[in-house]
Amino acid sequence: MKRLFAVALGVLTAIGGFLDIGDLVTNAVVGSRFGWSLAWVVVVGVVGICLFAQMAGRVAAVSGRATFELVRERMGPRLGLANLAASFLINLLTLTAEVGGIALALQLASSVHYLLWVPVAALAVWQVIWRVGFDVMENVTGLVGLLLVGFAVAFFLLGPDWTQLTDQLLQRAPHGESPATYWFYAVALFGAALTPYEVFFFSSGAVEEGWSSEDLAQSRLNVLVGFPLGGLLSLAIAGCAALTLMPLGVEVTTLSQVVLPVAEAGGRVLLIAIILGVVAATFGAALETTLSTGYTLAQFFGWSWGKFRAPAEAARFHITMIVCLLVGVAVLATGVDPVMVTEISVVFSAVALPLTYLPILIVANDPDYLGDQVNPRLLNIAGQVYFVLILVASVAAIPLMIVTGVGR
Amino acid sequence: MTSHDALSHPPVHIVGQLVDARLSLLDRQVVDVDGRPVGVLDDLELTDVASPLEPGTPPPEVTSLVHGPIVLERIFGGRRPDAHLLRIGWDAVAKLGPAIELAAPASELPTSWVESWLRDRVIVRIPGGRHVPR
Amino acid sequence: MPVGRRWLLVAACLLLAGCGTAEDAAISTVQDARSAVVVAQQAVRLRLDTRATTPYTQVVLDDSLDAVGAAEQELRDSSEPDRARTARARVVLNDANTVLDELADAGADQMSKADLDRLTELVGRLDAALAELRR
Repeated sequence: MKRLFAVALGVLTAIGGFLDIGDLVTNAVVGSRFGWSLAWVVVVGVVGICLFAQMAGRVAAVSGRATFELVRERMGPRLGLANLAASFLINLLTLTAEVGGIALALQLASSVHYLLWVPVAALAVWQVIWRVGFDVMENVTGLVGLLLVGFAVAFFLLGPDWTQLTDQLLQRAPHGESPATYWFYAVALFGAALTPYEVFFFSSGAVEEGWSSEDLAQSRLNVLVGFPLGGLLSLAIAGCAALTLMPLGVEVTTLSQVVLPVAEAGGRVLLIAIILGVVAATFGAALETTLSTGYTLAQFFGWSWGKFRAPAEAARFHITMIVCLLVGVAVLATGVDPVMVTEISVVFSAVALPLTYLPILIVANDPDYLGDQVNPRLLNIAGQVYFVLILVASVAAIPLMIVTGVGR
Repeated sequence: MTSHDALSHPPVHIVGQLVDARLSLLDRQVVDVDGRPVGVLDDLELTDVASPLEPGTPPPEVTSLVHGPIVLERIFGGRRPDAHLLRIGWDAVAKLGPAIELAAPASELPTSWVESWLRDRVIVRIPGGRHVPR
Repeated sequence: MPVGRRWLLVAACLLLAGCGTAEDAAISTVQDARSAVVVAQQAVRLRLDTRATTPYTQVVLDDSLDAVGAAEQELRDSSEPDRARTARARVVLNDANTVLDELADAGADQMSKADLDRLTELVGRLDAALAELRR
């Protein structure tokens, strides 16, 4: 019974933890402009994050080494530092977007301006990192984040027009957007599903929780069941926007528009539940990205790190996170639109993906690290196919962003 | 790299395991006896070799692991004052694997002044800084 | 990379960016404003049906007002050569700003059927302006 509970808990938190501000915004924007025409990207992205996350988790569980330790070992200090700089800055951008997302969600709940919520949100994130244990943090944000299942409820309450959605899915429906815009959002959606911080966090979390080879089955189950269910929620978000906002000719530009279909479908109760779910999901992601800033630097430079230690036992790790949160608050304080920050962060996530993917793919094949737990042949083929995909998305991201003027 | 080095000339019998220092030691994590990260290996110090080299000279031996804030010098060049480097004697090494495991606890090893300064001046002064998050 | 080639790359990017954004400012700004007003109209409708909460509706009104303000700013900054078209867009954007400003000031808890009608009528005016500009 206890075992079953642990399995269920792991899967449920994986569903709740899958979505962040990038997924929420990008899926709603895409749904309102393209319907389900880009739903295939969500599927490709979810398969990718499953592959990638379980590989990183296995490497961490078996060898005890997290991502940025491997980056430095395998790429050497020179290339490793370039990788660190790029990954760190993009992660900082994602962190800023997530803190902005918490503030926007709290604004929806209270109608108090989001800029007043930004310092509150950052302080709360820091206090959780400073005082709350890893398990509690993961389980609470994951379970409250499950309220986002409300998007699926709303989707069915709206009475989806399946023939129309299928037409969009099979690319039979015109969406009136240029091919460049279509592909720009394909890359953005891919970057939203496969954000690099998820991998830093997943592999470091495996070390935090002291996983060993015996925990691998549980971790694989969490990933292989939880993430696809999280992906279905992404499709529901896009579907809600496609059903209500697209016919009105509204292109999503704010978080308040993302949740409008929910009020339409389910009224106040569902609206309140979803707003709470958005707070939890962005809060969880803000914790993960903040921890990831500390993880990446500490692992590269060999500092002591980990939430399972007292802050005094990992001083530079904790200082890094405090400074990064302050930088995020400072960026948001300039009044820059958090939704814009989010859209840019998912595109740059796509750019940075190969940087963390490649070292993990290499080490997952190295018997010196993994012994007999190296990638099986089939997984390796899939891993390499995905590497090509990730490389193409990475190279195409910035030109597409420039050509389309960030999707305008 | 054991103390019986394979790169020496003339060939000696190798006792123990052959390790490529560049591939398997450099840039590896160094962890203490409890698995706590101590640093990342930046360099190895060897015993001096007489110059000119006489035939039959014994091969140099590794004396200590070197780490500390020198990764930027390794990339961009330049030299740190010797006092900034942190050294761990080779005899403290317990096991070589995905990480270099030491036999001693971190408290008995030299620590970076940045870490201790931040800990003593900032972290422990914030409430809760000494408590493990629960 | 030689400096010359780098500049060529920058120039190519700018050229591509220029092609991408060569859109009619009058149309695109009115379109943005229309999108914002439609959302405000929907939110007020849901509020009157007690399907949206008051704080949520207030945020939508504020967001829509901001979006219309941004559209007006964009129109001012644009180098639209045709004065008549710009003037047409400016008038209707100004209307939208006035209505949303009054509603946001009144507060989401004060919304009535009359306010919803005002928004619906405003959407109609924006649609008419768009149709005219597209001709």
